[in-house]
Amino acid sequence: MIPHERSLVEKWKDKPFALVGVNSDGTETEAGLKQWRENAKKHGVTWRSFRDEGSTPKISDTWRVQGWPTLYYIDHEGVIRHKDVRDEAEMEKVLEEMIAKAEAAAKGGKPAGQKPADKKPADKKPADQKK
Amino acid sequence: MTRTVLAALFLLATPSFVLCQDGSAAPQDPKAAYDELVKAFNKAISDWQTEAQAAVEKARAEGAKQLPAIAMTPPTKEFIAKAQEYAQQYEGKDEAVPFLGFVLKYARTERNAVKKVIGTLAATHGKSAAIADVLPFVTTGMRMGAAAQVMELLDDVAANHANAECKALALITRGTIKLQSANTDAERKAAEQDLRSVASITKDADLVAQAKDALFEIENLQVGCKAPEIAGVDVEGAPIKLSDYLGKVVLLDFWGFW
Repeated sequence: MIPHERSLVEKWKDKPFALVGVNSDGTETEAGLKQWRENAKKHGVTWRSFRDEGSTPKISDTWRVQGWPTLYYIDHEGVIRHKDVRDEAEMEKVLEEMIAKAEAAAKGGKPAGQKPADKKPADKKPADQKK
Repeated sequence: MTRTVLAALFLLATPSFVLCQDGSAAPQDPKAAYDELVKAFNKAISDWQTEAQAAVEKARAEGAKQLPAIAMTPPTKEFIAKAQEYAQQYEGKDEAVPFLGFVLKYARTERNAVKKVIGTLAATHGKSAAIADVLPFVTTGMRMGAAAQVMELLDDVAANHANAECKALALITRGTIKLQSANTDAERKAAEQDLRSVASITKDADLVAQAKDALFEIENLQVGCKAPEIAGVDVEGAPIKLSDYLGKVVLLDFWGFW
């Protein structure tokens, strides 16, 4: 897993993509964190991870994680688009599509997206004023 | 938590019997026998892990392409067989249930043992309060070729058990199973129905919370749902939020080195 993930992070370092971990290695203790740092160095883990332990409830409990690793694919708007795609080729395909959409939204999407957002309060105002 | 309490109550309330029917002394009371079995099992697994890890490292150092055989075979077999023996010894009695549960909890490849256990639970213990302790583990049967029998058992307990907590546990287990295999909205609805009904049949806080957590999954963790916010600290202790990454595609990965 980790070598592939590392390759994704490197491949898309200039793209709107982030690998975010939720790590369950017990880094809330000093010994755990020390061990984690050693492992991270050894395996080239550069991306950030939430600390799973110590939060109540644990993030992995809230997210109903049944086994590790568990993957969620979240788009640029914060919507879950896929779960548990594990095949490496499939992972890249799915992520590439999502990244393309994020880039399109960042480029042309903003002005287009702003119009309805501007309109909505304008539409609502007269109704509110009537009250 | 409740499961443990139920089990403890049941164990306190049941006088352990000392003699087998043929008059020979039983090795121990069932609770002590169970604890001893678990202890021996845990030790065997821990020894195996140490040995397997050493073997894997050795194989790597030698440049072997295949993992050594030991890494693939946790020593569950003899313990599963022993648990079955005990279950047989207490056949038909509540005392057998923890041993049946042992098989469900720790079986890795012992499909036939698991199937048999599901059958025994359905035929003999479906009405007993002792079943509460093992109901959450019947899910093992789903991946060991006993899916239909598991669902039958859960249907029976959910519909007919005298004890509301047992009914609720069966509904939670069934709802969770349905949720995991659900591919359509209709299937998710069926799971939801099981989980929603829990709060109406029991006031047990732990069971109600379990059902609520599973419902959270249906309502917030499906494809198409807005990802719930995560606000916490990273492994180094610095604050981090999932929403920090809005505008980017996020691959959220629950992982560990272990």
